[in-house]
Amino acid sequence: MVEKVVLLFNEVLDKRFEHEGEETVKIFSKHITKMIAQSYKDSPKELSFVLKETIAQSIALEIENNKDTMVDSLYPIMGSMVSKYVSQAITELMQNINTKIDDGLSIDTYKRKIKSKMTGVSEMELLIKEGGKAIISSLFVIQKESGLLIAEAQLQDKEVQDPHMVASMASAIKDFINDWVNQHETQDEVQILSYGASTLYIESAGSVYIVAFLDKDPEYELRSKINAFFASIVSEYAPFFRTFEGDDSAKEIEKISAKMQKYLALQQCKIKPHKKQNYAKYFGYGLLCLYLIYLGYRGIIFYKESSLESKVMEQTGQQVSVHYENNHIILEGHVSTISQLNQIEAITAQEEKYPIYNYLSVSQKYLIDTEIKRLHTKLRLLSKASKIKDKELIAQNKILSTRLEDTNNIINKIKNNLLLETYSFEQKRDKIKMKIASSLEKVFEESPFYKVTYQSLGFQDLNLFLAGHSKYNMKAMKVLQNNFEKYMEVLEAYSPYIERIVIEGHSDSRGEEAENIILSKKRALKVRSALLQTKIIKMYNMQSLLEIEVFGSQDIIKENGVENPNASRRIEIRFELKNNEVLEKLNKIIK
Amino acid sequence: MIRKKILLLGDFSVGKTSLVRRYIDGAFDDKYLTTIGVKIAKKYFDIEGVDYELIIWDIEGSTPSKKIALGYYKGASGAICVADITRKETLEGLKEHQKIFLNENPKGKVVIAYNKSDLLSEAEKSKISLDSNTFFTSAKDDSGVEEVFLRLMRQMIV
Repeated sequence: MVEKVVLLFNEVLDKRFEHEGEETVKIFSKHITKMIAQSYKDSPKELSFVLKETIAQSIALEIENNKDTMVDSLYPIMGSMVSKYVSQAITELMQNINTKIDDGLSIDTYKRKIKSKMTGVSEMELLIKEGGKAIISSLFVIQKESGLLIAEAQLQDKEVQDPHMVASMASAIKDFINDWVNQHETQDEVQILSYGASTLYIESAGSVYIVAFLDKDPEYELRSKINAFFASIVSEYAPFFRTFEGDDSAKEIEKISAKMQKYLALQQCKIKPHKKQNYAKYFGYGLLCLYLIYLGYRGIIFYKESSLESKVMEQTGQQVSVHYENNHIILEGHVSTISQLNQIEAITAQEEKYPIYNYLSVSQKYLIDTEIKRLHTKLRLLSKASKIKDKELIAQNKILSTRLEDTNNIINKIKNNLLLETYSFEQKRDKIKMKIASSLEKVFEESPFYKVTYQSLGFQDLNLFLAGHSKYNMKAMKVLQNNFEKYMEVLEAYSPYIERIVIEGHSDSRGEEAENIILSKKRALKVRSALLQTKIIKMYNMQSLLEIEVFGSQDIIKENGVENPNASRRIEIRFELKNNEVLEKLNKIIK
Repeated sequence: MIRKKILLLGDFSVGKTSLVRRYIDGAFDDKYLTTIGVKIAKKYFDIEGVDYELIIWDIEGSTPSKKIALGYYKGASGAICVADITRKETLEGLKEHQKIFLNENPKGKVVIAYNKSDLLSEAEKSKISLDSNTFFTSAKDDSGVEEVFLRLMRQMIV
């Protein structure tokens, strides 16, 4: 029963598959993935064996029907795989080169060996470098069927003229060769076209191919790089390439061109440093640049100098020379005035930050003229000031003259008054003196000791003192005292008018004058002491009137021209009236 | 600018190269024609403010010993099929050229040029019926050349 049911179920299932009903497909679609996964888990080998042929057939058919699309999709992967195998091939090639180098016996080989030892670079690399790397001058991306140029990039100075025509021509040549090759039952495509010193490296992928224009055949490494770069472009822009219809305004073209241009530029950067012969060129360029920079700098300086000079000329009318030296500005030349000199410096400072060395000179004539003008101005000012002072002085002088006149008048008045007063005072005094003299003459009528002329007492013949001594003779002293009392009795009557009684001490001229003065002073003092003892002095209390004066040998007594020492050793007594001194002063003033 | 590849097809010595020589704006040297069987030339057009550049593939006439590479036909937007009006066999060959072209470019446009028309009298010409895509041309007197190209151009940009 079960077997019959299973058979019936299988039969129904077959019929449903045969008719490919949508429902059946839906139902199985849900489970088919799980079933395949389970089968892979349970028996992977068996599943691979079953699917292998079906998948291979499907891919082959798909490639046949949509060759370009498939190639576009697979190219980047294939490119990487090819690169890998190419790298392996390069390694093998280099090993072979090394083997050959080891076997070589040429001079170049030894040179290379020495260079390798010195620089540390392998001989293999040196050998490859000796050949030099190929340089890509242009890159074209061309639509395979139409030969229309889609995008291009070219090195400066190595541009291909009319790239669109060149692209078509390259395409035609490639088609021509491919057609010829295919006639000989091979499926290869042309990759290298060489003509003279130019080489076209062509790499196809799907609907486009890239053409690299080089100066020599590209080495494996470079081909590998071009392929890798091309693969990156194809993988990014494959849909655009398939739909390209000749319109070069598409944005993608710009992007592709830029990318290729960058690739070329990078290639140039990488290659250039290896070219030794370029060092000298770059050095030359460097020197040229430096020279140009220097010229530019000098040009700027010259421009600055000229513009400054023009500005100075414009504003001051003076032609001066302006130089820039070691971050300084030097001004040279001649100017007419100092103000111009300062003005030029101010203009320069306004224009430039650099310190200024002002070597501008002003003419001597100008300096002298300026100095003369300055002196003239000063003189004028002084003259004005002087005139003012003169006027002031004249005025002052007038005032002073007036005052002086007034003062003189006053003085004259005072003088006159004084004269009058003196005169009256002298008259009065003379009257008293005459009265005293008259009285004394009467008292000392025939006395040898009274001197009429001087109204004084002189004791030169009394021998009061011995020579050289101050001790007096008692008898002589008595005589002297008596005469003195008589003298004083007269004077006492006029005592209100008596200023003082003077006792003069005199010596002879023998001995030293200093000793004589001392001696005469002692004698005068001794006499004064004796006279103070007199009754009249005591009675009228006139002690304060007695004073001494010392003369030494100044007034010696001579007889017939010869000194009488006994007479010289003497005492004289005289009186002085009051105001005698005042009178003298008044006389001096009046004089 | 929009660029289009067009072909100049026709039997040997129908005057294809002469036809465009005075008309084009630039071309590679003729020596390439004998080497690989194609000469590339170009022609600018300004149609209604849009710049066009025709890349003209002047393909050498085939001979029994020299077949044209099929790759040349691919990717072309149009073709001018040229016949020598004075040689009957070249007129018969036109169909073959059109067939090959359209086989490779099913959407391509074709115009016909009966060249060397200066050798025919007006009476002889009047006996030949021309449709809108067929023109009498002469490289000698420059007649009909521009019309052929303009016609093809307009057909391609429609």
